[in-house]
Amino acid sequence: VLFFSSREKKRRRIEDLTEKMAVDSGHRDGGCDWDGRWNHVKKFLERPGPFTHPDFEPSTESLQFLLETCKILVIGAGGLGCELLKNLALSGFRLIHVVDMDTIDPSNLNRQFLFRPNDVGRPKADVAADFINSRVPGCKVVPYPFIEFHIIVCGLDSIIARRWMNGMLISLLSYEDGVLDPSSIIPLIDGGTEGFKGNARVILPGMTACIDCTLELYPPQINFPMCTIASMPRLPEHCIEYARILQWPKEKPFGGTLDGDNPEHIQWVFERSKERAAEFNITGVTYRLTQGVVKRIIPAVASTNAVIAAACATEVFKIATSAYIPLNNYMVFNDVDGLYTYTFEAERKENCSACSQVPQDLQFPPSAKLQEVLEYLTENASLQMKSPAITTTLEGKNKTLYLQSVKSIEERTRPNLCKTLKELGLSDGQELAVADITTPQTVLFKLNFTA
Amino acid sequence: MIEKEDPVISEEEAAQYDRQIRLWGLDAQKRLRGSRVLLAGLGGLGAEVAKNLILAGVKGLTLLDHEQVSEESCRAQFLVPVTAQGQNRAKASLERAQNLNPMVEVHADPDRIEDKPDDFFLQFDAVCLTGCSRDLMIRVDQLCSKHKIKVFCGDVYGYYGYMFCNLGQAHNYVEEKPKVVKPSGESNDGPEAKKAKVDPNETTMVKKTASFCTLKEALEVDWTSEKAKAGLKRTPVDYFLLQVLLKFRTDKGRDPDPQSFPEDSQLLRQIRDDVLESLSLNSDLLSDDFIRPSLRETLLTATSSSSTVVKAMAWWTTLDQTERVRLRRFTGKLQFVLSDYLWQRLFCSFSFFSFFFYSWIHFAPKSDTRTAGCFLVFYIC
Repeated sequence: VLFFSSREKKRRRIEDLTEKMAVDSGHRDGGCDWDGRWNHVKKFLERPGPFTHPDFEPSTESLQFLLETCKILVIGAGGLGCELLKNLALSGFRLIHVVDMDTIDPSNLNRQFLFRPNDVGRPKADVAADFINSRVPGCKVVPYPFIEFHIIVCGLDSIIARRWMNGMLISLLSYEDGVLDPSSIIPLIDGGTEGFKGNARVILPGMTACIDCTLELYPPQINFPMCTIASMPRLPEHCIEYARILQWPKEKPFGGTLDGDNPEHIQWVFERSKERAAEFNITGVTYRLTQGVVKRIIPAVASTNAVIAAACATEVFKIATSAYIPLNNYMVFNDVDGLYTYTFEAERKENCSACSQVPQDLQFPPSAKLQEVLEYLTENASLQMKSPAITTTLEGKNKTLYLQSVKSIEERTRPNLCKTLKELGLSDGQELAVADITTPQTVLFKLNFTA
Repeated sequence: MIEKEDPVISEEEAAQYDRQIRLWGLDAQKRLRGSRVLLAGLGGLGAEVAKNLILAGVKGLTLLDHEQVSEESCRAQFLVPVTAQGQNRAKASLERAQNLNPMVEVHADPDRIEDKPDDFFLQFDAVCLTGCSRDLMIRVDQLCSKHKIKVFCGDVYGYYGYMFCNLGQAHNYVEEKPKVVKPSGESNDGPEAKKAKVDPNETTMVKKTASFCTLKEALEVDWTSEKAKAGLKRTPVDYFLLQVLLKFRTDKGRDPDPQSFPEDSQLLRQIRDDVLESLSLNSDLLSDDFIRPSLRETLLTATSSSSTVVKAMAWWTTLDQTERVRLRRFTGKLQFVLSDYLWQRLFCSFSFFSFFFYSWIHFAPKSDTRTAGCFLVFYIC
């Protein structure tokens, strides 16, 4: 994997940066701690209590570990990320790295409170790091890519990204004689929010349910049936999707693909949607709605993020100190309708494509077309791949059966989709290697021919 | 209560509040934009509530706190600068609070809430009380109910916390319900369309009214009645713990403190006995475990949060509709409002600072039925 080979370079680069950041507060040796600064944390770590872990031994070492050694990676400096950074910095964590590729937008300001209006346009990771570093003496938040971390806590905005992170941590696991080496486990604490709903979960890769084990829990994206869009619209959203899916590709008003961030594009879709809505006497098409549908905007508010981030930060604290029993392992929260929350233990899937280490089974008759295999990979609820690339070994040579992401290869391999598995030279028991954006490691499938 | 003009949302506001407008609608944002809220108590909990309200874009937020910034305040609360020790807590929190959102009018008031006359409260649309005594809360709650001002109370005691809301005897709100689409009978859509289905994207707004009981009623349930006795088994012990903690605060003027462990734990036990006796309940309802070496940190026993939650959840789903309705009546019809009304939403998602996890007494399964509990209680273990 590419990033490992440049790890050394990156590590040196990060260390240089950390040096620079330490200089301005001038308190690398912890001299910035005033008397009693960490008394509240000491209450948890330097004495026993009724909820502490049975194996917990009170000592001053836990706090030292938090303050001096424990490295945390926060992925995402958005709604959850800002809250997480605040909570972690105030809980004693001082070595925090934050990753975010995004820049600040005015619509972020209703909840991403580390940012101000004159930060708009700047990278989120940088601004978040600056804010915390100047607000919390002794805290060193370093923006962007990662090296070695003890714990990873995520506030990501996509399932694909989560699956990627999940797969990455699983690939870091090491096994000795088939037994998992616990020191290779990097706990992953994952939080997600959407409007008034949210969830927080603790994943110990290789030990507890991973993201892919519970893939079916994520609701599918709302896609209106084509027949409704094409001939029987009832909602303003149907009209907008009509303009987006059918009219835009046909008319290509500005050439190229529809860009949700381009106001002219949205305006065009908005106007076409209004026309269509007028035809069917549908009201409610607005510019804002058009934007929301095209950009798949998810509503968001500060309070849900605050709740979920609080739960996640608590779990980071518990796991880092081993002082309390961690969440086991999935909490859901919903305050749309009253206030509802529920915690359960998500179970590992025996044949999980990400963490089970069991080769995945593909059952097809030899007369099945490659197209059918492709559809299975994308449509199966437990796999939900996005654009899988399928390769195999034939006559000792690596052969690409189908790959979508590179145009020239896609064109070359497209005819294979119509060929049967037998025609492609595949045999019973053949191993197919599938690569996809949802997993950093190739997934191996074993082809089992059915009658 | 102030007369509200219909506030207009500026373009800047529309951009900043875009994501939450998509959640609760422009009307709701306008109502928020015209509302004045009082927040009493700027401890850790108060700071989080202040943050969420200010970010949400209320018209005005008054921070009321007579306490001084202590060394502890700086740890628990991110609005107060380290250098502010000795200053008034509300005033010290003002600058950072205001910076969260310049569009909100944030005021700091250093007075004691007990000294405020009745008409002080009448200038607000909603009142949120943290760190207040039982009597004060009851007084404010009674006063505000009469004047249709929404009341929210809450506190955090180490691992444990609670929240209460009273939105009035006749709280009107609107609920978004999915529309059932009847089969059109036309052949265009194919065989799928012939089935009547619920399109989750098609909704209709239904007007409703909910009735809330007062804090006094919620705290003064008569446990000797038949109905109450029947419900006792299903009432989490947290409710009685809250009664003990409120009484401690009234008697001592402060919360239990590990610094005074011997006398405080003695007093807590005594209060426990007194409270349960006065309610005609068995004193072993709340075992001695609730007082442990770390007072103020740990106040609940035994079961882990998840198992309690699971048990309680399992119990709730076994009830049929009538039982649930009865249970709701029993707890005084204290219902969290649905959908559109902002207040409940904002306050109910109290984000409890750092170390808190939560449990709760009654909840609705994943359907459109309401929660019955008036109290949200929680603990972390």
